[in-house]
Parts: sequence; C-alpha cells; structure tokens
Amino acid sequence: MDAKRIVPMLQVLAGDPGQEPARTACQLELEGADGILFQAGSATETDWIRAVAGSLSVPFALEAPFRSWAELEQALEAGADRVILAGPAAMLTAAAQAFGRSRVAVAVDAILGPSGWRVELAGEPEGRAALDWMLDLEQRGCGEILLSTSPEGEAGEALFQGAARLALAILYRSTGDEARTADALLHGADGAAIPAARTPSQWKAALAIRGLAVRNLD
Amino acid sequence: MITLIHYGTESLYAMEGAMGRLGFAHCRAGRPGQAAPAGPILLVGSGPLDPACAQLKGSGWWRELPQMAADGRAVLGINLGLHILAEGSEESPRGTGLGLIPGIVRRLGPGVKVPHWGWSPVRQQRDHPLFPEIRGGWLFFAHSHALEPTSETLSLAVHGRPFSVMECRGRAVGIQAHLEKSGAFGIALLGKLLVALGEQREPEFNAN
Repeated sequence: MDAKRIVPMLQVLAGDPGQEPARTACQLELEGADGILFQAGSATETDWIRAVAGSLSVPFALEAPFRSWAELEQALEAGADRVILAGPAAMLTAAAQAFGRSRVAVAVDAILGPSGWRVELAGEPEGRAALDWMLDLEQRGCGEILLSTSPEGEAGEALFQGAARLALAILYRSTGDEARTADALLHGADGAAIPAARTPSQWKAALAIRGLAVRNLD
Repeated sequence: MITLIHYGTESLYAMEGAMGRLGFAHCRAGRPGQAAPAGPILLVGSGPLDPACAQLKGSGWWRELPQMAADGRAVLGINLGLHILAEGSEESPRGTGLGLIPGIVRRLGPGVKVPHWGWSPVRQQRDHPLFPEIRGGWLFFAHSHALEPTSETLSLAVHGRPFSVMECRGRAVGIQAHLEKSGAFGIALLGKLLVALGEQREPEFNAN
C-alpha cells in the first residue's frame, strides 16, 4: 500500500525567486517531505522552478493563477511535476490530454452548509454538491484534487469517504490541526498538504502513532 | 558520458540535476547524431504515449535506439521510457513499442485510483548483477499504465495488482519509478545502476 503523502506548502513571493525556494524545498526533503506544494501569486516566473527541479529529489507541484496555456506549458517544461488549477479549471481537459492526467490537479474548496458539502462556482448561484463537482472534474481529466474544507469539523468524514470512492487521488489541504488531518487521512485522503510550522518528520511521527502508513527515511 | 534524449516538452532539469549531484557527465541530444560517442542513453518520459513516439520517430531515435542497443550501448527507459521500450501498450492499441523489453503495458485498475501518484514499497523478485538490492525501499510513481510482470521481472510494486518496476534484458533497462524523484534512496539507486552499466563518475566524486 502507498504511504500517505506529507507535502509541505511553501509560498513563493513575487520578485524573491532565485535560489531561495530551492534551498527551502531541499531542506524540507531532508526533513522527510514526500513532495512540495509551491503556492505562487503568479505563474510568469520560471527561473526558480528550474532551480527547484535541478536540486530537489522529490516531486513538486505549483499552485498559481495560470492565466494562459503558455504559462501552464512553461511551468511544466521548467520542471514542475504537476500544476494545480484553481476552481472552474477552464484548461483542464486540454492540459490533461497534452501533458497527461497525472500532471494536472485542481483545487476544490468544499463548504459545509445546511444541504451538505457544496462548492461555489462562478455562474452557478446555488453552487454544486462537492462530490458531484469532484466526479465532474475526474471525468474532465483531473489527476488529483487538492481538497480544503470549511469549516473543518467532524462532518468531514462523509466528504472524505465519498471522495475516496472516486478514481482519483485526494490531497487534503490541512490548516495544521493534527487530529483533523489524521481524520481526513484515515477516512480516505491520500495525503495532506501541510503548513510549514512543523517539519514533515514531526507530522509523520504524529500520524504513525495514529496508525497511518508513512514513508520513513532510512 | 550519459546521453539524455531530449524530445517534445519533456523536462530534463530534474534528471540533469540528479546526474550533476551524482557526478556523472551528461549531455542532451535531440537527435541520435548529437549523442555522446559512448555511454548509456537515457529515455525519460511522462505524459501521453503517442506524441512521444511520434517525436522519437521524427527525430530518428526510433530507428537508431534498437541499433544502438544491439551494438552494446546501454539504453535506460524511465516511466514512459519503459513503456516505449516494451512491445506495446494498451494506451496505443494500434502502435507498437521498440520491443527491447518483452511484454505489454496495460492500464492500471479497475478498482484503484488512476493515475497512480505516490510512494510505494518495492519488492525484489530476482537478483541481477546490475541492480543493487532494494528490499524495504520506497520509490515514487506517477503513471496510469504499467508493464505486466513476468518471472523475469526484477522488482515489483502493487497498485491494485502487482506491476513491474524494473526490467533488464541485456543492456536494455526499464524502470517504472521516477528514481530522480524518489529521494536519497532513488538517487543512490540510480547512481549504482549507472555505475553497474559501466559509467564512471567525475574524478572528484570517486571518493564517495
């Protein structure tokens, strides 16, 4: 069985790029990261992506507001293993066909309301049931869902159990709450994107105690 | 000198970085004529099969690779590279592979998440002089298809059903895992494999 992936999230600030993201990511790899999720305010810079690709030995994804096909293509050519598209995912199907399903993920924000877990979508005043939306994304070529929930709570169990039955992987976007992150993983999430406050090794030690399979460094 | 086949939109920065850290001299080659005069040829790949095969045909690699292997050159296919070295794939029912490694590549599933994107424990099935022992190791995978294992398969992982992780036929080697993305363990394995294939590290790396 696969290990539950522990993937630190790293902010990339505009203008800062250079070697800094690569240095920080490599340190996180040494501390047990199974991958890195970079979050950038724009996808126009690629020098830092090349630097990360050339020095990191675990996969990394880029979550950014991709404004054009060219931005998507240049991020992948620079070495990002995966791009994470926001909400409505206009380029999803074409990107999955061109680069492969495994290289394209979509962020989904599920909100718990009176009628269950929903997502808000532009042009759809009532939004959509979160599980219906994720199934739709799967059929459009999405390779993984980066799933965040608000508010976090017990009722997330049904959402994760439903999502686990989809034929695509679920990465839970953790806010740092250990018990809820463990619950998401126990109920079917394949991994967790974690804030950088604790090291990946600390997360893994805590999750292993709760019975979750994690990749330990030799 | 290791030759990295450069085709399509395939990013080679990760593999070049790994080569640099391991201390192997390497070059990119868009066409067979740009290959180093000797040393292993690396075919790294991800994404859809058909465009990759079309690009390799257009650049002359499709014709030259089998001849290079027949001449004793080591050919190492990683991820999609393994699928291209195999005899065929369900991903492209009308096409054929290069046939340097026997077997047909099949789609993963049903009943599991596809694509398979994650770290899996790898189990060694056979010993081989080229491959260091890998018991207990975790490797990183990103794929929707995999080669069906046979009794000749060197190592296996499981995603719903067992699939082939490493194959070796003569000087043709196929690896499903992204060794260059499999942390220190994967990088070390890649280094040992390239040394076993006869490649030498730059002098300043010999001490390691």
